[in-house]
This record gives sequence, C-alpha cells and structure tokens, in this order.
Amino acid sequence: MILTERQRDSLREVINIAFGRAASSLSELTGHRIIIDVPQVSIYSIGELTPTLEGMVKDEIATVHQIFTGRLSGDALLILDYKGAAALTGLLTDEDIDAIDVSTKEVLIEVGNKLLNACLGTFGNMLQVHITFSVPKFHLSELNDMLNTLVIGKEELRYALLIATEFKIKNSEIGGYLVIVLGVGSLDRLLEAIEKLG
Amino acid sequence: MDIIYKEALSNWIEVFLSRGVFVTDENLKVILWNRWLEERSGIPSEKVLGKRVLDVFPAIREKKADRYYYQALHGEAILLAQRLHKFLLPMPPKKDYSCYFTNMQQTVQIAPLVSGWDVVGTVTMIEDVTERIVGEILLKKEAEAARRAEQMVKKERDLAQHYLDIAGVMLLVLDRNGNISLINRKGCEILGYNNEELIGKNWFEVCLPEEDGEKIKGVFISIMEGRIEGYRQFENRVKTRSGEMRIISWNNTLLRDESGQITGTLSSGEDITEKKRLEEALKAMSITDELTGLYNRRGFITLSERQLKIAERARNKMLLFFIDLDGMKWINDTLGHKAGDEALIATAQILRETFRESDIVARVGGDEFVVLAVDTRMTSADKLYRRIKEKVKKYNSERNGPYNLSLSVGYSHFGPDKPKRLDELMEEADRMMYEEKKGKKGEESLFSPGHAEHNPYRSQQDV
Repeated sequence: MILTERQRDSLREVINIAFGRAASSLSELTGHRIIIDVPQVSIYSIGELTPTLEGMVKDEIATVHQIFTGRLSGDALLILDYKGAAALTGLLTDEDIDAIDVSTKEVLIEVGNKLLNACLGTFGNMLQVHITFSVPKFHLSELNDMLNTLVIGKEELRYALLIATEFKIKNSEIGGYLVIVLGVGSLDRLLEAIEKLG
Repeated sequence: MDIIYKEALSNWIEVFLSRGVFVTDENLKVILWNRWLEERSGIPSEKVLGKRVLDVFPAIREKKADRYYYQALHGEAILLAQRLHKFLLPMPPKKDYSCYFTNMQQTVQIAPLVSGWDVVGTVTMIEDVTERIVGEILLKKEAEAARRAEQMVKKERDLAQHYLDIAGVMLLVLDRNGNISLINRKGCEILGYNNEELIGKNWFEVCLPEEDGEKIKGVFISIMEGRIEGYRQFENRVKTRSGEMRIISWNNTLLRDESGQITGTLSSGEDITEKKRLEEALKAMSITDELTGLYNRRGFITLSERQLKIAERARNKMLLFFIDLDGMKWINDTLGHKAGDEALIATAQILRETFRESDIVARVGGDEFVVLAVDTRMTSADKLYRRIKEKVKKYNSERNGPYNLSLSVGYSHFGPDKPKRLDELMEEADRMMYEEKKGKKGEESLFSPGHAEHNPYRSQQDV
C-alpha cells in the first residue's frame, strides 16, 4: 500500500498536531521548550517493516509498547536506539544518563505514552471511534526480537504506519520512530477519514 | 469470571496489594480506596468514598494532573514517571527516607475502566518508589565518587606519563626476563614503534641487532640473577623498526622489590648516533693527530703531495724521515697506556725540536712518525739523523724514567732530477728504518712484561 502525496501530507499534518499536544505537555513538565517534528510518514506491510527499520536503528533498542483496542485496534510503538533513549531522558531530566535504570525507563515510558496517546487519540477522534489503551510497557531488546512479537500469530493482513520522529530539546535533536501497526481494515478507514479532512 | 473470583480479586486489591489502588466512577467519585492507601496516606476510606478525588486531593489539580483523569475517561492509559512528577497524592514517605524526601515518591498508572466499548471509570495505581529512588541516588553518588577518584588517579597517571613523554631521553623499564614493561614516547620515536607494539615484547629479541641480542641478553640475565654487577653506563646499538641502527648511550638502575630481589632495570638512553656520526666526520675531516698535535696520516699526505709538486717545479731537494718508536707494545703492556701516550708525546716533541717549522711532521700510525723536511739547503740527512738521536739521548738522561726512549730512524732523498712519488719515498725510508730496527731485534725481544726491570734500554746509551 502506497500513500498518495495528498494522504501523506494530510497524515503528517494530523500527526504534527497530535505531537504538538504531547510536546507542550512535556515542555510544561520539564520546563524546557520541546518540539517534536514529523519529518516523514510512510506505510509498510508488516513483512517490510523489519528490514526497513533495521536500516534505520541499530543494535539494542528501547521500545515503549502500547496495545490499543476498540473499533481501532493494534500495536503502537516508540522506538529509539539505546543512545538516543539515554540522551532524551538526560535532556528531559537535566541529568547525565549513560545507563537506563528503572527511573529512566519510566521517563521513556511516559514520553512514549504521551506520543502514542496523542497520536491514537487524534485518530480516534477523526474516525469518531473510541479507542482504549493498555498501560504502556517498556522493552530493551534487539530490534528483531521486538518486531517478531508483532508479526507472529496474527492472521489479518496488517500494515505499519511508520512515523519518523524528531525531538528537539536544548539545541539537541534526537531521532526516533513511532510505529503504529493496524489491520488493513482499520488503515483503510483511517485513510478515508484523512481524505475527508483534505 | 465467576462472581466468586471477582469478589476475591477485589478483596485482594483492597486488602493485600502492596500498591495503592483507588477506583473512581465516570464522575471521578471514589468507589474503592484500598488498605495500602489508608495506611500510607492516613486517610480512612470512609473519608474518601463517594467524594470526587480532585476535591479530596486539591494537589492533583495544582499539579495539573487532573487532565490525566479526563484523558483516562477518554480511554487513554497513562503512566506518570516519578522522575517527571515526583508524586501524585501527597503522602509521607516511610520513616527511613524522610531525610531524603518530604513526600513519598510515586510512579503512577491511571487507566480507564472499560465495560464493552464504554469507559465507566478510572483506576489509579500508585507505587511507592522512594526506596528505589534513594537507592538510585546513592548509587549515582557512589559512581560519581568513583569516577572522581578515577579521574584523579588518571590525572596523576597522565601527569607521570607526561613527564616521561617530555623527557628528552628514552626511558625503558625491563622486567627480569628482559620484556618491556614501560617505554616512553621518546623511546617509541627512536625505535619507530607504537607503545602497544612494544609493551610485553622482549627487548633483546625485538630491539637489538640479531648479532648482539643473544650476547647482551645473556649478560642481562646474569645481572638479573645477581651473578654479575650491572654496568651503570654503556653504549650499544639498537635496531629500529625500519632496520636502521642507532647508537644509544645508557644509564641503568636496577629495580628491586621490598625484599631486595631484583625485578628488572630502569634505563635512560640517549640517542648518540648523530653525535657519533659527527665526531667521525670531524675526525675524518681533521688533519691533525689529537694526542701529539702533529699532522695525522691524512694531513701528512695532503700537505706532502702538494709540497712534492712545488719542490719539483722549484727544483728543491727534500728529505723524508721515517721514525718508529721502539718497544711501544712493551711500554703499553707493562707500564700502561698512559706511559705509552707519554712516549708518543715525547717523540713528537723531539721531532718538533729537530725539524723546522716549515717541515711537515706527522704521526701516521700507532708508533710511526714521518717527516718531510722541505728546506734542506742548510742541512743534510745525516745531520738531522744525528740530531734526532742526540735529542733522544738528552731526553733519557734528563728524565731517568722506568725505560729509555728509543727511536728507529730511516730516510730517503727527493731530488728534482730524479723525482719520486710520495709512497716510494716513504717505502724507501721505511726500509732503512726497518734495517735499523732489525739490528736491535735481539734486544727488542726483551720488551716483555716479565723483563721490566731488565729493560736493556735503561743502560743503552747510543740509541
């Protein structure tokens, strides 16, 4: 499935607004001006997702994972490489963080949680459906192991919305990826709703 | 789920769960307040149940955390990290941590309660993470202290390394087996290796020329085993990575452990290759003999060749004298090199006094002297020959030393009518000198260490 340019632009716009909400909430919490940009949005089949992501993030990754259910259901992930995750929490908490401990992990979960909630909340509003979320979980693992948990045992043809994310804090830029895995039906409905926005 | 389990579960949450849990309805009125919360907040459930949680805890609104409840009512599950929020409900910490925090540090989850597609309320779970946070703080402090200590040690080590590195000489520590345990930057520079390439390598195998390595290693091992005394100073050749030889002048100190056992050597080495080369070059360029101040062979030949050409053109006669210091070996062996040097200096002085300033007087070998008498108009070979012998005699009588100086003398003529080459002149004079020396042969054999007292030259007047 390939996004038309119009779909892509609209989707980016919608996600940008959603991230704006998450960014302002984080800015308020930390006292730093935080901007979260969306440089790119694309769609991949679940099979293409792994090789695509492998080219983007390397080695050990930090993932915040939330399951969402309701009329729109699937998996949402924030993926950062280990260094980026440490750097991001360091900037948010004004500390030098070189290893991710439990408290650091919680900060990442909250960041991921805010982004995913904002994004999916917006999708829910657009589709005028109610989505409920699981409490977010945090994983430190190899990319493959993480993605394998998504691929296995689901029959429906599924797609991944890959949203490149850039956190801008205190003159630093930290890149990450938001992945929203949806069934083909959910995705069709989402794109339909986005078409209407335009 | 059976109703019986639902009851049991709700009972467990209320009574046994080691976290704070409270549940609200869709109006955020509290419908469950578990025992953990009662105990830790000091607020009994009867004071909370049925009331809006935002009214019971105004702090939630003050912290702008009320929005999380509205989000939860929209289906969002929320995690509030301690690092960013510190706490949701103000409660005292456990006694042990009251010196760190005035409030219990909390990680909070707020989740929607869903029935079918609808959100019917919220559930809040509070975890007391004070102990963990204090642990993290202490750990961080410890790590910081360790890092600082390490930095200090590193600084000192760097400083020491810096001093080693700026030293203008090679510094080398060898262990008992001759393996390199330290070498400074200068040493690496001289040898053309990286530090890592040398540490642990055997000095004698890697850095010395093959023909020297084994032998010097043998000496080193003997020194390490305490069988022989080490040399404080010596010079030797080392081989650089590119195979070039450098001459190093060493100063050595033995290293010992607390029990006095030899553990290795510390050496400082100066690369004197260039200095040596320069000395050699200067020596090669020089035309005088250092010991006697006379011309050396090179000086003699250069000047004499020129003089020969002049004499040929000017049709001058010249004389070449060949003089040999008798018993030089005996003097060196018996009386020492100092005495040998003195004999050479005395000979030079005699020749200087015998000949003129314009004559070319030279020491051309260990005990060989040559003189080219340039201007012979006022003298003859015979006269000069006799003058030499007289001066020797005078020297011996005035000095009364442990031996008598004795010179064998030969000469040859240069005439413009029948010009000879310099080597021919020297050969001729040498032959005559040799004849004279041969005449003394029987006596000369007495020049041996055992016959020092019977030195025949002591009583010999006419030599």
